[in-house]
Amino acid sequence: MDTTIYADYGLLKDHYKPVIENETRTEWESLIARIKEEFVKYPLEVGWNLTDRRPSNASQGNVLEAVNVVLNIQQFHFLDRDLYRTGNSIVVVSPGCGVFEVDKGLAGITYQRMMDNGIGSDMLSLGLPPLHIAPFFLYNVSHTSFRNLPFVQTFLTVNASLTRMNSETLNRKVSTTAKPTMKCHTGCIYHS
Amino acid sequence: MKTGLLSLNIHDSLTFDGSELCLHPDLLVVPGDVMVSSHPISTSRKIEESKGSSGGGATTASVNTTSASSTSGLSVGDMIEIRVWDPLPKEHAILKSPGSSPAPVFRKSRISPPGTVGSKTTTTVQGDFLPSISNSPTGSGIFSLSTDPAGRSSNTGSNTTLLRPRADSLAYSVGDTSEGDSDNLTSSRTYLTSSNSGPGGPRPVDSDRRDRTSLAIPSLGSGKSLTSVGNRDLAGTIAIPGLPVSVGGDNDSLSIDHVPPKTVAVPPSALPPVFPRSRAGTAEMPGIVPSGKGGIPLSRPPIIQRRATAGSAIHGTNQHHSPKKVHAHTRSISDVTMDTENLDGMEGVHGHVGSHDEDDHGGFIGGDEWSKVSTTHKLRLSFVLLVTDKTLTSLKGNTRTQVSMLRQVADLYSLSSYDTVTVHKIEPRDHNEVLKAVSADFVVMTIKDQFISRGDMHLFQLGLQNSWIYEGQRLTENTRLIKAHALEIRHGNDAAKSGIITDKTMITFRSRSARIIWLVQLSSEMWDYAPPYDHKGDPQSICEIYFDKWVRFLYKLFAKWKALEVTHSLTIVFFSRTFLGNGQSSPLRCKDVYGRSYVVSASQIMVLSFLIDLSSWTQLYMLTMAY
Repeated sequence: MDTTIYADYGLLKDHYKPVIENETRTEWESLIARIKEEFVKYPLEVGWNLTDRRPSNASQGNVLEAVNVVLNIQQFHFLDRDLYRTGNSIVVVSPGCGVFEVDKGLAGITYQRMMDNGIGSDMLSLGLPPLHIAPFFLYNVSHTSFRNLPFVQTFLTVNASLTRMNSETLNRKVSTTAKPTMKCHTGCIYHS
Repeated sequence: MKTGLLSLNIHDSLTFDGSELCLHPDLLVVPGDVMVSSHPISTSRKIEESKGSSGGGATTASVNTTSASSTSGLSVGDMIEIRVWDPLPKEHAILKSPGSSPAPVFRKSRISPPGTVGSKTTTTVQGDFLPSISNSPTGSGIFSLSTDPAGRSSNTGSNTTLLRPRADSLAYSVGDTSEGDSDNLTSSRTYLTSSNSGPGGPRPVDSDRRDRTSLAIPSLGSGKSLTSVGNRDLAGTIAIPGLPVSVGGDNDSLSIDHVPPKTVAVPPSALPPVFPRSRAGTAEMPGIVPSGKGGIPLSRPPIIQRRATAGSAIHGTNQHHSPKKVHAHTRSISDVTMDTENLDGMEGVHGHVGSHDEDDHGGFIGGDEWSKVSTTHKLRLSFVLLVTDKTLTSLKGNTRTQVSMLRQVADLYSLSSYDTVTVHKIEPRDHNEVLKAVSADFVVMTIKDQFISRGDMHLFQLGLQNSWIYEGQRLTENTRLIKAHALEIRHGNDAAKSGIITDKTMITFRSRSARIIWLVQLSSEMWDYAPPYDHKGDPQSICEIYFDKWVRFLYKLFAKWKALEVTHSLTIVFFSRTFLGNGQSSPLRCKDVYGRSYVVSASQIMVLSFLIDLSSWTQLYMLTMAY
């Protein structure tokens, strides 16, 4: 474990705040007010200011870390299983355009965990789609190899040509034998 | 194998759950004969107006099971096609005749239909017929017209049974002339107006059958040849050479015989007995024509005359149906009848007149049935399904004359009670062929409020193979407590209402009660303004920050969730990274890709105790560093 702290860049702090926990509603719109309220309160809670505590931009954020946080729960989905639910879905909502600077080691671990647990993830970008493939994970220069993470990228901006791409969809072969596939019925994610 | 016209009964529930259709196992009767001319009636079932002109709304079908025996009925696992028919108005029915051409030949107005002269064929037809019509003794050739079939039957070998199909079709056409399926009186009226409206109106012509022309050619000596011309153009060219409009002319008869609508006017006396002929036989046409031209005698009697001769017989048969109607529609009725007759022969020739169906390879069994249907009805839709044991056992009502169907399925196809259907059994040898057309390639099933493992999904899918499912069907697997809902069925690139699941069917299970976690990255861009353009569907540009854009999306998504009645478990987590200007120490110091160090705030993580296993989180980062 490298404990070196570079004073040039200062420290980073990651925050995770659950806004809504395991809610099931018939009137889902009632949650939006709470989401908005939490959104307004969030900068104050994490203590952002204009000088020494600044939020990162999307590409330098902690996307993979957040996914790993969720995986910590999801990887035990087979324990004490809820018999009234089928399927897990992780959706990462990012205001960026799908480009992330990540640690290659963490990317490798995330990939491995998602594959091992059979958990995929969707990524919903609010920004404009870039011309290249997305999500796009940038590694450190010393790492030359590139590996797709099991994300499905969706841009909220693009209505007509929603892009769905990840290693799974890109490399999918048409299987001759039918296998059941599983998707959560999130409904609108791909049809916004 | 096919049934006659049956009426459809729609029930909210059938005897057994899981059955969508009730059929009598003996509905399908295999006729013993193949040659239409030899034994045309044995398989006929007729639909007659049970209520006659009394004005009852509903027609019920009564099946004449006069045929000798049902050699093979329906059995479990059979693939059947259900065709739904719309009754045509009478004059449409005329035009639906074998070589359906837009030219109405017989008109009360006796005016050559100007608008319908679209082709040479049509022209020659009119030129040919009009004089003969005008020569008819009376405008009210009513009964004489209706008699035509009888006359023909006598010509075709005194086969008295021939009368029946005509009567059947006649009765049927009387009852169901209008597109509407309810009121007989109304339908009659509808017919009258339509016939008066003249020929100008557009007519639905089955383009498929346009090319199928049946010609009854007075044979060259043998007296037995029914030839078919597969190409209408061919017929047209044949008929062209300077066709005088004279009645009974040499060329006339020739042209008549070769042009589809002319089959209407072929003199019964000139009609030889028909016998089946292979489809390939159409190629012989050119050869036949010249000889026929020379060989056709001039003796063709005027049309009306022929009708008059046959009038008495058929009149008798009509009487017991509904005299009033006969009076009202005789002319066209007889036309239809005659068409039907010719079509009978044609059915024998072509094997299947339907032309679009894939299951009719079974020869020309029940050709008279088919011809009746196709002349008086327009195929609305058809679908293929499988016979299950429940189909045959959950009898309800008068199943020998009716097909009972679950309302859910009927609504899918917009069927209503008393629609006219025929049931066709698909021969086993055609199963693969048909499967290609009706298999369900992709099926989306939704599951709700239950946990189903992947293994159960797989077994569930295996159990569904070789079964017919329809959109909206509830599928249950009692041993595994699986309750699924067929949401969407696709065949190729097209959505299908129903389909047969094969081993190649891809089934996608979608959960309506999933555990969903949204990770919302609150980075600095979240407070930036999104581009105001690029809102598809929104007429005006919207200036909003990215978060509001996401919220706007949430409204749409939640509305959709509400419509889908999902019971997801939703968790939303905001996450962010904060750059700290001052150094703060933390036990969890990490370094990002640029070598910048950062700290995972343990206190914040502890807040999320439900989410985050701190120890594993730490271990994760140990792993990260070691990687």
